[in-house]
Amino acid sequence: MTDPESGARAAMGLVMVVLSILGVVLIKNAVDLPMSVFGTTLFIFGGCYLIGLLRQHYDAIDRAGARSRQANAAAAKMTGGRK
Amino acid sequence: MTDLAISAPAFESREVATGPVIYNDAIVRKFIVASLFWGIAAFLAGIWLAAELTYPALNLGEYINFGRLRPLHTSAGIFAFGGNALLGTSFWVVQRTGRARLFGGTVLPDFVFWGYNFFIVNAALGYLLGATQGREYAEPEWYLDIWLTIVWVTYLVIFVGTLMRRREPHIYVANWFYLAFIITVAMLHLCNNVAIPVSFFGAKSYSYFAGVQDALLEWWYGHNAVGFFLTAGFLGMMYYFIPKAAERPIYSYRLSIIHFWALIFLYIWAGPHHLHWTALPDWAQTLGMVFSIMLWMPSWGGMINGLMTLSGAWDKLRTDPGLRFSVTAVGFYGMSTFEGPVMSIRQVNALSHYTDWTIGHVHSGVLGWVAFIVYGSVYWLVPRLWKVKELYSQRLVAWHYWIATLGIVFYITSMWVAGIMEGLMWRAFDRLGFLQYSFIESVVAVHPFYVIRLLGGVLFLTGALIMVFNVWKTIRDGEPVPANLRPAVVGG
Repeated sequence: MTDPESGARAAMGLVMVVLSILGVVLIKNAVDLPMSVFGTTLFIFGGCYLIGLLRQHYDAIDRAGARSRQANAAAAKMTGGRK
Repeated sequence: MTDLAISAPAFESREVATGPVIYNDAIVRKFIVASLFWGIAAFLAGIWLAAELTYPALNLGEYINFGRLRPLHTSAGIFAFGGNALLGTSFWVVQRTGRARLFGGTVLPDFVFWGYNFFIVNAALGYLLGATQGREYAEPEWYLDIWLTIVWVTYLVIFVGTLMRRREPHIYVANWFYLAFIITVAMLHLCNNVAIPVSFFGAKSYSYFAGVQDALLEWWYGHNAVGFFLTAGFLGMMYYFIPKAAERPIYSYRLSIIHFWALIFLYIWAGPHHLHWTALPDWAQTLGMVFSIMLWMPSWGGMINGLMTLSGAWDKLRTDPGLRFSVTAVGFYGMSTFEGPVMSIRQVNALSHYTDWTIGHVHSGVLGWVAFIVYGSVYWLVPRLWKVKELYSQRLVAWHYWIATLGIVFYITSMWVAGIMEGLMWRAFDRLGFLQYSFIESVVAVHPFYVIRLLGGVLFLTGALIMVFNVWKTIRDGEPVPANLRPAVVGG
């Protein structure tokens, strides 16, 4: 079974990439300390969020794989191993 | 005890034909933990500020002087502690009363959680670095205002989306209060933060408005932050968690509807009472005062409704200290909403304005009403969220209750006395018509009361630390509810 939220995660990932880039732009051009800090935290936020989304994505693939293996094992048990 | 053992409002107990719902409780858990964390931060900052006022030598360096730390304290208390509790409980309530999983899967609610807390962290960093709009309760600069708008609209989409996919025909009254909180805060935020940045790469901005219009707009926002953030949202909490904890339906559902419509209609006009005796036209000041006095009726209607819900269940206050928090919160709600209209009367305001009476009033509301209703709700929620049988210790809840109550009493009584004394000293004249006291004499006179306030704050923080310990032990060591006894509809 495919992960129903993979599309939403991909879209959110894209948003986070844009935010991280915006963070870098702000760091480079900031004219005061608060804006530099904001740019830095935005970059870190986007990056960490992206890593979190990737982890969720691969966790979902692992769960789907485990479910599939369980289903196959159950089916094999019912049919006594015959194909 | 599980959800099934609790008698819910009548419509909630109906069987749903379309099968079980897997609720998203993970997001509620995150918000509750964040709320407790920020609560401790807010109380610590408050204590440090109280110490700075009592012993000015403690204003150490530019980053933690009173001017920079004060907005951090208010924002941490209102938006971080209160806001996280509101967002978390609203997600719990809208799912349970609508029998629907949150709209937006896990992606959108997660974004709201992390986005909202990112806003809080950056607002706090900005304050310490001196970036502020100088608008009370709306200090964050333009770039954070834009960020919060995006997060808030996402929150609105999730909440409304969940309501639209609900399986119950009726929208329970708690959701109306939460919805009013979300929509009105959005409107207030957008109007009050119309500002022009000096540079897109700099923090500083200037308000689009000027003079008395700017002041009026700010206090229209400021008072409705109290009305819709600190009141309407937490009333949503009251209307769900008190009936749940008391195992009784609301005393009068009809009264709750009247409470809702009267409150939201009247509150929005009350802001000008913050600008008595200023350049604001008299008619606008009077308008604010009259609407504030009219607010007595719905506020007390709601308080009576909350308290009377305990009819036939008052004995539970002996055995359920969590419920004691919620009921005391309603009592403080009644007291604060009595005191507020009194202070909004122009002649009373002439005495109370700019004094510590206002600080006492605010804290009777925020500590007594807001924090206590959060505590009551969190104590009810934690075992259910982490699927354990019961709280680690009811005794610690009782200790928390009495220490926190004592702390509030110390706080508000000392500020009442200090405030009224300040007001009287500032306007005392001698027989020749000169001011009888210099300002510094009033500062010296309130010093003992500042010490008592500091003690009250320390007690309140001590109670909160006990709560955090209790919650942590409940989560870590609580006896899990066996899977076969868990409500069929709960998951996530």
